[in-house]
Amino acid sequence: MMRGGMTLNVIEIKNLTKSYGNVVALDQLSLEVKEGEILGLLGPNGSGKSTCINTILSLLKYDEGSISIFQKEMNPSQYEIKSQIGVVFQDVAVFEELNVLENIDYFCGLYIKDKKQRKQYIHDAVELVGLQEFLKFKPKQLSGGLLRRLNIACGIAHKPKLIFLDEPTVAVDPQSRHHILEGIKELNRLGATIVYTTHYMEEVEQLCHRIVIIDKGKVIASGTNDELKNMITLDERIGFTLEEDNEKLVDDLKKMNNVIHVHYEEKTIHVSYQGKDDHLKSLIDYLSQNHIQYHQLYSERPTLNDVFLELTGKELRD
Amino acid sequence: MIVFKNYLKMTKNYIAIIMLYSAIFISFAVVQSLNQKATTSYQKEDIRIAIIDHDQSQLTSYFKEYISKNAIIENIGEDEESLKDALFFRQVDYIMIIPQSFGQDFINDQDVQISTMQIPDAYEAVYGETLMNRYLNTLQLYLKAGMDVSTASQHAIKDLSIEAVVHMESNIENNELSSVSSFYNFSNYALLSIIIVVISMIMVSFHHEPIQKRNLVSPLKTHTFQFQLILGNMSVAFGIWLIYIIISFIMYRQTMMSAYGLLYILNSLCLLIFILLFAFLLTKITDNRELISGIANVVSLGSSFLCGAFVPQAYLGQFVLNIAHFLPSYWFIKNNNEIALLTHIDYETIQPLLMNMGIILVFALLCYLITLLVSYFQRRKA
Ligand SMILES: Nc1ncnc2c1ncn2[C@@H]1O[C@H](COP(=O)(O)OP(=O)(O)OP(=O)(O)O)[C@@H](O)[C@H]1O
Ligand SMILES: [Mg+2]
Repeated sequence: MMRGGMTLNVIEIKNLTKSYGNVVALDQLSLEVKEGEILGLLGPNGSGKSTCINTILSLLKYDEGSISIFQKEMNPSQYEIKSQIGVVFQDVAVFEELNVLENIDYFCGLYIKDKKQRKQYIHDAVELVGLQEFLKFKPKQLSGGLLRRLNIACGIAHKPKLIFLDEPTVAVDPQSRHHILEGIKELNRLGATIVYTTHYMEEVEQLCHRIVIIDKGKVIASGTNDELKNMITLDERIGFTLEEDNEKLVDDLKKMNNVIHVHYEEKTIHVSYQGKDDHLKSLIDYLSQNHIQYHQLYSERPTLNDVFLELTGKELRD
Repeated sequence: MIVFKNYLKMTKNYIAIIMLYSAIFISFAVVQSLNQKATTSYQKEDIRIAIIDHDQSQLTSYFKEYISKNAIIENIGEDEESLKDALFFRQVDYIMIIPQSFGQDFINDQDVQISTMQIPDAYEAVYGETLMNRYLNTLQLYLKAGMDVSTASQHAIKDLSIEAVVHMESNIENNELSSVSSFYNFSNYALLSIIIVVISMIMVSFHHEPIQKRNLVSPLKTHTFQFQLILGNMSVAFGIWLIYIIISFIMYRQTMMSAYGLLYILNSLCLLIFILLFAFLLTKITDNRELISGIANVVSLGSSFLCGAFVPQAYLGQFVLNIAHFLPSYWFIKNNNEIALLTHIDYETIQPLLMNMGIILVFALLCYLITLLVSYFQRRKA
C-alpha cells in the first residue's frame, strides 16, 4: 500500500461539474482517493453522492472537470480500468429469475472467465457477506438485509482493487449492517481501496480512514475523523442533571471561559465548550466548590453532525 | 459467453409456463385430430355437387358425366331460395349454374362462365372448383385442336380420369392434412403467447436499470453484450418453436415427412421470425411486466380468434376477415389451410403460399424498423 512513504492516488477528480437541467448536482467538486484507504463520502440526501459515483464510473456524462482512475483518464471504453473496479449501487441490482448463487456467478462471470477461479471467488464472497445458508434462495425469498448482502456480494465477488459502495446499508437491520461493515473492513484488509457513501455519520466514524463531506455538490470539508472535528470551534459537550432547579447556575456557566453555549431544560444542562482544555475537570471542580448536587454526568466529543451543522448551519440528517 | 449462458439459465424459470401452454396445446391438437378423422375424412366421391343446367347441350351432358365420375351429383330445386338452403343445410357442397347457350359460346371461344355458389373456403368447394376448371381447360385445348365436341369431351374425360387415380392415392394424406393444418393454426396461439412472454420477461430483467448499470461498469463490451442477448433470444425462440415442430412430426409423421411438411415448417418459421421481432419491439417500448403479459395475451388470443386459428376462416365474417388482413397470423393461417388444399406441389402451386410468407416477413421487417425508430428517439431523448 505505502510505497516509501508516498501514497498513490487511485482516483483523482478535479473540478467536476454536472447538472441535470437546472439542478447543479456536482459543483466544481475535487477529491482524491488514496491507495488502500476507506474513503467516506458523507452528505445529506440529494447532496450528489450517487451522481459523483456514477460520473466517476462513466455512467453519466459530465459538463466540466477531469476524472482519472489508476492514473489513467476514465471513459466508457476503459475496459482495463473497469475490470479492476467493483460497484455496489444504491439500488439492489439482481436477477429475480436467478438464485443467490447464480446471481453472484453471473456478475462475477462478467469479470472472471476461468470457471475454477470463479467458483473459489464466489465461495469467498458468500462467506464474506454470510449468505452460506441461502445459496438456493431466489431474491424474492430474501429479507431486505439479506438482499443488500447479496447485492454487495454481486458487486465485489471478482476481488476488485477498487470498490465503490453507494449507501449499502440503507434500510438494513442491525445484524445485517454489522455483517456488511465487517465485510467491508475485511475487503480493505485484503488490499482493496474503498469509496463508501452514506448519510449515516456513525458508519463513517466507525469505518473510514478519511472523510469527505459534501453538500449541494460541493466538498465542504475533508480529512480524518479527528481532523474534521478539530476544524470546528466546538471541542466538548458536557451534560448533567440537577437535583433542583438552578437558574443562576445557568447564567454563571454562560459567563465562564470557553463556554460557547448552554442549553437548559427540565433540570438537565448541556454545556458546549471550545478550545483544547480539561473542561470536564474544571466543571466538576466548580460544581463541588458551590455544593451543587447533580447526577447523570456525561461528556462527548463533537460528532460529524456537529461538524456539518457548524459548516453549513443545518443538520446532516433531514 | 456468460451473458448467453445466463440467458438460458433464466429460461428455466419459464419452463412451467412453456409446459402448461404445450399441454393445453397438445390436448387440443389430439382432440382436433380425432374429430377430424371421425367427421371430415372425405373421399372425392363424398363431395356433393348440384348442377343447374340451363343449356342442356351435348357439351354440358359430357361435363355432367365427368362430374358424376368424380363427385355425387345432387338434384335440388332451381330457385335461389332452394339453392341457398341446400348449401346452408349442407345438402350440397358446391353448385354450378350453367347459363343458356353455354355450350355454343364455349365452342366459339367466347367469354362465358359457369356461375357457382359455395360454402366459402370449404375444402369441398375448392375441390369442386378445381374439378370444373380442369375439365373446361382440358376440353378447350382439344376443341382448339380442331376436334368436335363429342371427341374432345371423351378425350378430356379420359385424360382427367388418369390423373384422378393418382389423385385418389394422395387422399389418404389429404385426410391427415387438415389435421396438420389445424395443429399449425392453433400453434399461432401457443407460439405467440409463449415466445412473447418468455423473451420479453427475460429482456426486461436485462434492461432493468440497476442491472444495466452493473453490465455497463463491467469490462464486457456493449456490442458483445448485445450480441449475446440477441443470440439468447434467438436460441430460446427457436428452441420453443422446435418443440412444436417435433410434436407435429410425432403426431403426423406421414405428412410432416413429405413436401407438405416442409411447407408447414417454412410457413411457421416465417411466423417465428415475426414473433421474435415483435417481442423485441415490445421490450423497447415498455418494461412493465404486467403490461407485457397483457399484450401477449391480447395479441395471441385476439389474433387467433380474428384470423381463424380456432374456428375455420370460412366461418368468420367478412368484416372480421378484413381486419385480420392486417395481422400476420391471418396470412400464416391462410397458408396452412391452403397447403392442405394443394393437390400437387410444384413451383406454380406454391407461389401464392410463398407470397403469403413474404407478407408475414414484411410484417416482421416492419416491427424491426419501428424498433430502430423507437431506439433512435430514445437515444435522442437521453
Ligand atoms: N436523473 C436525474 N434527473 C434530475 N435530477 C437528478 C437526477 N438524479 C439526481 N438528481 C438530482 O441531483 C441531486 C443529487 O442527487 P444524488 O442522487 O446524486 O444525491 P445523493 O447524495 O446520492 O442522495 P441520496 O442520499 O438520496 O442517495 C439531487 O438534487 C437530485 O434531485
Ligand atoms: Mg444516492
